[in-house]
Amino acid sequence: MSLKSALIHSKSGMVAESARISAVSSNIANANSESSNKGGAYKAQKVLFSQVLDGVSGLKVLKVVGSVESQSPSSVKFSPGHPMADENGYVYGSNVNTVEEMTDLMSASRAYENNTLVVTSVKRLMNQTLRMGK
Amino acid sequence: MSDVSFGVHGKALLLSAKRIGVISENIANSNTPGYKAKDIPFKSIMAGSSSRLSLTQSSGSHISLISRSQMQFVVPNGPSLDGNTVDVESEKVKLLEATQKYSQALEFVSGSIKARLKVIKGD
Repeated sequence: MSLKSALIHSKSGMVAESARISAVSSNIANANSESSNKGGAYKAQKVLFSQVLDGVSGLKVLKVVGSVESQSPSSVKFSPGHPMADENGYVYGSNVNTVEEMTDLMSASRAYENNTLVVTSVKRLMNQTLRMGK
Repeated sequence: MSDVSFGVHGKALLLSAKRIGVISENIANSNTPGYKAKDIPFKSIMAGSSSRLSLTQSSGSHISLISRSQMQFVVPNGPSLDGNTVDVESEKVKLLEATQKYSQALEFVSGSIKARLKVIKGD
């Protein structure tokens, strides 16, 4: 039944895109967090997804395969009066690029919307099919 | 069964449902790096439908004839840097087209069932 496979694909797409949206929201929420050492500073999370064979349905579906930390450099601020400053007077911030996160959010939410569109049309077709011959 | 009972409409119904499945896969993978958009050439399959042999799939894991030999990659308008060739706008138009075709075929099959019921009941 292919209408069901359409639903499975859309569901996997929605799960993957919502994982992206939640990573973006975590990044934006932590954009201004600060730390007293370089390793403790917040690193932006990036979600990775790819097509994986699903044993139950026999279809290649989209799955979140993990997340990586962004490799871009953390921001460093010289502020000796800060309570979290290290012995040299530096405070380490996150490496979140807010503009990049916002574009990522727009891309993910649009892709999510497209998947809901597919679900809505498939649902309508399934209902029509159930009423076949009546 | 549908090939015999409802002529070309049964076949069109199954094929449109398959096409909707393929299009939904494309839309779901619109952000997957390296994903290549696929499509089923509706017209050429329907044109050869009378002579082609079909395989019965009794389990979801069986490979259908369509998925192996007749699925085609879409020629991209402008592929992105990550190797993804899905054009979401054209996929949405294709989805609309396929759902219309499905509804149309369903209408014909439904009408055929209604006509037969009328004959059986005699009213």
